[in-house]
Amino acid sequence: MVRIGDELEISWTEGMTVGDLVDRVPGGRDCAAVRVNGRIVARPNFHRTPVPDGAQVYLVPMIVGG
Amino acid sequence: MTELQLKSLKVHPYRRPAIDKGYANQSLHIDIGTDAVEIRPVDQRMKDVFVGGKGFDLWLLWLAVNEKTRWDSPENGVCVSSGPMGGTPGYPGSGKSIVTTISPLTGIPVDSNVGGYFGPYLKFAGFDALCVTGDAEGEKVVFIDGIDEKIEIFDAPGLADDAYALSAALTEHFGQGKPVDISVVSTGSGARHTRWGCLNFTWYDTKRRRARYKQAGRGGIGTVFAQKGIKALVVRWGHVSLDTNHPADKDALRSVAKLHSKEIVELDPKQNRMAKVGTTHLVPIMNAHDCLPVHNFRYGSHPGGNNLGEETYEHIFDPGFDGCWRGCTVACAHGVRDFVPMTGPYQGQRVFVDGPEYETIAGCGSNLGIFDPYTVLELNFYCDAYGLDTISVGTGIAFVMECYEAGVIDTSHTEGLELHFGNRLAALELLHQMGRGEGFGRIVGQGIRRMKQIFAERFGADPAFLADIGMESKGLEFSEYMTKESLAQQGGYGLTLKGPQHDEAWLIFLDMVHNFMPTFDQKAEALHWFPMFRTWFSLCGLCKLPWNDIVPADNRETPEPAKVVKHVQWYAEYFSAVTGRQVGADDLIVMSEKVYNFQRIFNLRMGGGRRADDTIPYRAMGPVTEAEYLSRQERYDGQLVAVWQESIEGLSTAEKVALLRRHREAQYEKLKDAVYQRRGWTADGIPTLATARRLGIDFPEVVAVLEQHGVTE
Ligand code: SF4
Repeated sequence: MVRIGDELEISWTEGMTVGDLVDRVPGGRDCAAVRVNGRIVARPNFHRTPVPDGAQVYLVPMIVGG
Repeated sequence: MTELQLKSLKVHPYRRPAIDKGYANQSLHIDIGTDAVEIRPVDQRMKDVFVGGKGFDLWLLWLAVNEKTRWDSPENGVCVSSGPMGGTPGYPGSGKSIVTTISPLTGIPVDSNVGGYFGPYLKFAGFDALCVTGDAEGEKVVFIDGIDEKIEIFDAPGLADDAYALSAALTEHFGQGKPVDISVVSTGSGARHTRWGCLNFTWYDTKRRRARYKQAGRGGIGTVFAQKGIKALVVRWGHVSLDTNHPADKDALRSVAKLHSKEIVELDPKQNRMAKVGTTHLVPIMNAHDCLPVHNFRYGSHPGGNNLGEETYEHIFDPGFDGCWRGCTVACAHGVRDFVPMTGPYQGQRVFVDGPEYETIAGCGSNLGIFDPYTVLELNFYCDAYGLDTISVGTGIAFVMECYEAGVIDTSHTEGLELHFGNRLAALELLHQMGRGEGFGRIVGQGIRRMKQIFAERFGADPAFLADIGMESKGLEFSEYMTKESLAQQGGYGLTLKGPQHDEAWLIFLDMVHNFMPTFDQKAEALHWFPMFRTWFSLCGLCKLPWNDIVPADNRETPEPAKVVKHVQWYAEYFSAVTGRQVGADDLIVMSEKVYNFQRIFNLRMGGGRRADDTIPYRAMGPVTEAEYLSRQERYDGQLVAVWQESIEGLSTAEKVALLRRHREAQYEKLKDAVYQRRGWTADGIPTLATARRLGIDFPEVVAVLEQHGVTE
């Protein structure tokens, strides 16, 4: 199981990447980065970063910062 | 009390007014040359048009100078103001001071928004704004004592030169056993020897028992301060509560403050974690998106970039709740305890470093090819101690390093310094030279615009190459974001008032990652709305970070997520609750438009403020060299074919560089047209008379400036 934010949970699959995950989550396609167990993963690395089973994931809504 | 050599020259007692709905309703004017002190009323019209903060500063500066005033003219002013909400404890980010002066880099007004306690304490001591003019013989300290109701000017020979030692001594001396009552503004030796001087604003950290620092960095304000012979400004004020600012509706204020504060506490740990890592989370994100400047903005990423990110600095920062104003729950003002520099006057001693923030890491780290977090700390520390802007230092040295590697300059020009990218000791030595006013550092500290001239005239360099790679616009060095792939952010840097600082518009991700604004009209709209809303924070004494660095959980479901409209509405309620002036979200934009257009006309009055002044170097738009092109060949080839329908078969790299350049430069000019039109400006980038009238800034002296420049419609 992977927990996204505080409410949503989705089932974990072998070899799952951040890219697979954000495709399945509302708002995931818009986000430039996520935190997986606290660590920043930026969009260009989504498809090469595995998500471990039991991970806590937060979408980082960084849109007009700086 | 520390014994300091301070000789009192003048004591000016005054009666402190009651603060009313966020205003003291008076400003303080000091001539540091003659020690004259004058208190002037702030009337309703000034509040209606200029609001406070940067607006008040600009108006006082406008009155102080004339069109011939240079940065080092006695009539130039250093103006400091907070704003009506400045000094509100509990609403996140409500303790900012805004400083303006005529810049030694640009010759036009520059403004800088800075933390620390000075602005709020100044207001509670009785003054919405302070304007210091004149030139002192020797060095003076101005003490504004809001508790004992007096302004005292001291002759101050022999005080410490570096900002750390000076502020610590003045805090102890004037604090009378309560150092938290004191805020000091000072600079350092580097400000005297360069045009990159910054101001250090302090607040007293009761947990660590030391004065902490935030910098008004941009545009050489510290250089003006030092040139005037102002050694320090010191303000003293005591207890602060929600009542101190005497808000019009305390209950409404309390409830909106609680909402925003609570949301940050709940969401920051799940979003940017700024309470733990400051702005260092940006480093790996920028690096991954090819937006982290590397080697003088040639490239946007580097394998070493992640060494400089949050995973490193979280372990180096001294843990604690570090807000630069009371009750700011973002608490992003981190620092490093017991750092031991390897060079310079503090070599081998334990020091506390305030920072680093993202800009310093990118400017003094990746942009110089330095990926060692401790060298970045040392550059950060000495920039602060010498009173130098880390952004201009970083971007300036990056330019010098590229010139060195390109053979434009060599050791005969640098007096032996081998300024390769990544040469940490050479970068540090150059910084020390700026602090001491010696060697090649004296030339470098003049800023990129003057270096370009010196390298061309004295060293025989090609001016066209220098113009392409020297990352300055209007004379100010770029802050630390790569803009090659974001046309909107090229405008966010070029179509600004003071020069290329991202505080007006930060549109890279909206443009490049989210593709929120594919058309020119959409880009122009963004380059209208965002600069206006961001300006508003500096009118009110606020920090912009709580607006959009932590966003509501349901933000993406709102019609315009980029604007974080829920927070915009909270800010309108906050303004109404403090001032009693009932406003909606759109009114905030109009408030800013008045000051924004006034500043543009002020630029015009000082010899800038036209289309040609909004030029940016080609390095900000695309690849200058073949090596840059080849490093992202797939991207550039693809764009030439898909976006521009060019046939590139058989073209050499040099031909493709030239072709891409033609298209990108044309795009930038087209963007200028669209933005000027949206802002109500002429094609030459000047606000029209109709715009000035619509905004109620058509005072006779403003209209006269427009007319002198041919704007009569
Ligand atoms: S968000 Fe950070 S910089 Fe802004 S006021 Fe709070 S602590 Fe200071």
